[in-house]
Amino acid sequence: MGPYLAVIVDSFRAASASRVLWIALAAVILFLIALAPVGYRENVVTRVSPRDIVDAQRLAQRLRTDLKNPSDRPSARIAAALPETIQQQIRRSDQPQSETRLDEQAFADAFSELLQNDDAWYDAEAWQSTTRLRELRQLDDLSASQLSEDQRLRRARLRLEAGLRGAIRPRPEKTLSLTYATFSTPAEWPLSQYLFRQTLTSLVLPPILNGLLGIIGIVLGILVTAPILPEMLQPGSLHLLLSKPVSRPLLYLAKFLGGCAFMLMCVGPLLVGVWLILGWRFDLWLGRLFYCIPVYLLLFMVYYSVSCLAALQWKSPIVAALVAMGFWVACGAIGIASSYMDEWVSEPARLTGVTLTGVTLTGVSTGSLDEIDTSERESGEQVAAGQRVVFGNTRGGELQYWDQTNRRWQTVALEDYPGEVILGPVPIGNQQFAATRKSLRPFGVSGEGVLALVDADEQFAVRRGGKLPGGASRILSTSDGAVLAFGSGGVAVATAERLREGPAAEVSGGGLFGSLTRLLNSGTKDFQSVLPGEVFLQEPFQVALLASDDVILYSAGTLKRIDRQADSLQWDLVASAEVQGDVSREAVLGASATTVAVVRKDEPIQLFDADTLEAIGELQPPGDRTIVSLSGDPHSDTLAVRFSDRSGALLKTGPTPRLADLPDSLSGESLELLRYDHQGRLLAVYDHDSVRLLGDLAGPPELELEPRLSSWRMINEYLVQPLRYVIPQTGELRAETVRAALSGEDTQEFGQGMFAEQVRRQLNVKRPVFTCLGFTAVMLLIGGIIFTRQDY
Amino acid sequence: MLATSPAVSPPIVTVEDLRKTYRSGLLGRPLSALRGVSLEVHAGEVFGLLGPNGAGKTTLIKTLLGIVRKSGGRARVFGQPVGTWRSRNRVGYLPENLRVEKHHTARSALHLYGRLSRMSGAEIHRRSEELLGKVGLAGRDRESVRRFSKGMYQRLGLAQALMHDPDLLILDEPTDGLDPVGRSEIRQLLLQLRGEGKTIFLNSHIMQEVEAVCDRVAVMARGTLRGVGSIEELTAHSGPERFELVVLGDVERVRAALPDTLASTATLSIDPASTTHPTPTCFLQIQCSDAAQIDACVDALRHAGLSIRRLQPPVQTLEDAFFALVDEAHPGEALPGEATGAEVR
Repeated sequence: MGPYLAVIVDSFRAASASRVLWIALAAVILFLIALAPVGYRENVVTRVSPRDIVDAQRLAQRLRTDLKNPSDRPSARIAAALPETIQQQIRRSDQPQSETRLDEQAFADAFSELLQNDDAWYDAEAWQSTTRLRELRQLDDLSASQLSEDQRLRRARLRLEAGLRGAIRPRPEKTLSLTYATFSTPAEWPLSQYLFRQTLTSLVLPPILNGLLGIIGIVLGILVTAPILPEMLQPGSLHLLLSKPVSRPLLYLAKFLGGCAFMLMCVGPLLVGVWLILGWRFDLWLGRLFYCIPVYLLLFMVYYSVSCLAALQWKSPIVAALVAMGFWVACGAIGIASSYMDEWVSEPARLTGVTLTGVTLTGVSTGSLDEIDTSERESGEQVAAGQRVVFGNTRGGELQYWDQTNRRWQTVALEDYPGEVILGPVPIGNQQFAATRKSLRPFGVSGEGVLALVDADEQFAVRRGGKLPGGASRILSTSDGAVLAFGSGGVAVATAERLREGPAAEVSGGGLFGSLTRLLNSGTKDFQSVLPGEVFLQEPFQVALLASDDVILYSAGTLKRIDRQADSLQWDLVASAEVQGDVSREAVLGASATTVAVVRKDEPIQLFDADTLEAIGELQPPGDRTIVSLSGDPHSDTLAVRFSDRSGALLKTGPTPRLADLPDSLSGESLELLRYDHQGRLLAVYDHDSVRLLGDLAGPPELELEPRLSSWRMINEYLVQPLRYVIPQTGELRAETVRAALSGEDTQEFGQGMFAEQVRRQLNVKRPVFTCLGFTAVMLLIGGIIFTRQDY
Repeated sequence: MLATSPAVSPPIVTVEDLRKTYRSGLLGRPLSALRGVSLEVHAGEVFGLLGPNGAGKTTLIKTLLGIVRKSGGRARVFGQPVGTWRSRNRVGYLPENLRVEKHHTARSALHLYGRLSRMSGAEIHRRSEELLGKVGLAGRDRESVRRFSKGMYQRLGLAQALMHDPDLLILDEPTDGLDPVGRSEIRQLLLQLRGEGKTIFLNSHIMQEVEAVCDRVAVMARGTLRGVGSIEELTAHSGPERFELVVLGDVERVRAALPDTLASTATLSIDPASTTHPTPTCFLQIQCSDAAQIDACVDALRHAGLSIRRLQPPVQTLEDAFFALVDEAHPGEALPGEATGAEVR
């Protein structure tokens, strides 16, 4: 390898002799000098801010009860210690005509005042029954003399959180503010160090590095390295090289690798500098940063391989640079076209939920699930009673039903229900379904939160149903057609009959404040809260409905089972358990006939007995995959598991829990959804919007829906996507592989709460690497063949 | 002269019926650069290759080095087919118009080319010291080649060609672009190498250079070999020779004195410088097939009372031989490239 290494080393020398390199390095050093003073400061969270109050009105209601019935309960002691003016406002808050409504700010100020003197309201004995976080337990173990003022205030705040569990959002011990040299930004972020580092590595660093290295570095690299090969191809230089005892393809490869030296010499110092600054200023020794060196080098190699091929053909540095830049533009254009197709055509068509009549709800069943009746029915024609109806929710926020005649999904008209996410549909009897559309934005809950009732018997006509509680983010239906709504306000229920009456008129509040208050209200005239008094819902939460209408709730690290009382719309708390691990992380929940499974990112799957919620075991998920959904078989101990890479598995939770492969008919499919229905059949959505229902896992599917492609999807499928596979995925390499390399995560999440599963996206980490490597290899192979066969 | 006769030393380069056709233009128009060339170069000899531009000399060299692929025939170097790395491993090459990348010094360039010739670091160091002195670049070896003159480039080129101590040196126009002093120095170096027993394949169009250093010479034109042999062999005559005599007397007297057999081929002219003299001097050129004829001519002139000042036997230079050979097969035809304007490499 000596001769070829000599060529590569020589290229390093050539690069180091380039003025452009030194200019680039000087720019890198200036950038690093400018970046070096950036840092952060941690501030201990010792106050209560308005954003910490979950729901001011519910809190007022709770404290009002405590004030009316004084006791030694923590919440009553806190209520009694509040300033007299606040107490009066709380007492008056149940009066509809009350002019002074308590808001979050008022509570935050009052609580912050309480923190100054916790001796006035804290009593160790009274707090014995509360759930104390480890941090509070540690602080409680310290004597007064061992505590700093900040620690004392922090302890008071934690006591307040424990005493008013569910009413005050837990905050990490510290908030962060950014600093630049000795200056500090006024804004403080309630981020833990973990979240701050995650934000830094997944949201801040990637765009900065992409701008510097992915765009400026690449363009500069193309321009600077374009003359290297034409220079070698000059007769006086080339003939001498070719007269040496060296292989032509290897000489070409060595010259190519040598050309990459320039990029390496730019990328290396920049990343080492950023690594040092992150370590020094942020105490973040991010070794993963160095993964970016091969990634950006690969990105450059893609364009440089094109430049070299052009140089072989035309022997001109200008033409080589122009061709490489042209290719860069073409890659970008195809990448953008592909992204647009994904965003507007492909992604919106993906099904995130499927509802089958007669399957999801046994009480509403109009018969067993046979083949869909296709006899002579035109699109949109009235559905005969007893026919099967299949609904699908798309990621694009459309509610669709299956039109078997045309083999297409048809859209249900929900124009009056703006938003991006469909809740439901859930069957409420008589071929009627309840659904609505909501916004993902925290305060963009559009419309009035009214349920839409879709009549399959009347050409899928839509009419207004009951009004959902504010903050509801998921709806399920019970066996008798009642609708359960889950959200930050709690769990509420409405009967089918009540919903059919349409939304009840609400008492009008005052202006914007009144509207906001209504949005955050837990109950409405139509929905009544069903949670037992001792059960609160706190983000992040998840819910699983069992076949018996019993509910498993996961709420900020706590698992609860609430069972429905016979012949009533009331639920009782029957079991509770703590889930070990990081309570702030989103969880995925699933429940089979015997087992409840909970998994959070980077944690093992924790298994609990479905009846008692006793922990029965753990199972480590497969190494590099994240679980995005769990769904239990109501008749066995099996759960269907879907991973972020759209693969799936079956979780057998017997004496020895294990993950088993999916049946052959589903293996290899790109799964959009995988769950059990209430009859224990496995329902899978694959290839965007195709549906397969398996009763017998080894047998043929009971139902298979494969829709015809729309013209835009055909263009995407047969033109844009093949092009995307032919050309290297440089855009994805910059955006997704770099992001994954920096964050160490292979999924990207948008939003929080129960929507998280819908917006968790698998990052394309490996595919761009493979396409870029493959493309570069092909370019080098072609170049090597040309260089070998050509006479010079 | 060589210690070993070229005729008995083993051939290092063997070329038999070598052909090379280039394709040019969109339609791939064929252009023959070598049309069946056959020659041998023996160990220890300095072999010169002469020919006009476009004769195919550089193509022949590039074929021997594997830089271009032959279209037909056979060519072997050190018994190995041309183009194999084994054959190239024992060859040192100085290309025409050598280019060395600007970031190099003489020493770093020698290091790179030494590495390309698969030499170790120690060997490279030792040979660099030796050769930099030999080619006259000692003391300037750490200067950037940007500051090098054409002559220094050529010296550096020679040094790199000699780095791995090759058995065969192929030099393409080594003195091209050099001033007379530079040419003389290179020539001395070649003679020194010849003295060391190196086999040198020298491509040049400078006749004096070839004549001064080469043991054998091949003349090429239009892609074919027109002649090959030692300088003596190429310049040797056969058939009638043309003599030149300087005679004291006017043209008419001289013509009248000549024997009838020679008068028809004789060319006479007056020396312009002697027209003012009482007895002018006349230049006479005659073609004689043997010594008896020249004797008869001298006798006849003396008999007529004319005084012969000088009798010059025929002398043919390499240049004469070159032109004769180039023009031999196609007298009066323009050389390739001259007629078409195309350059044959």
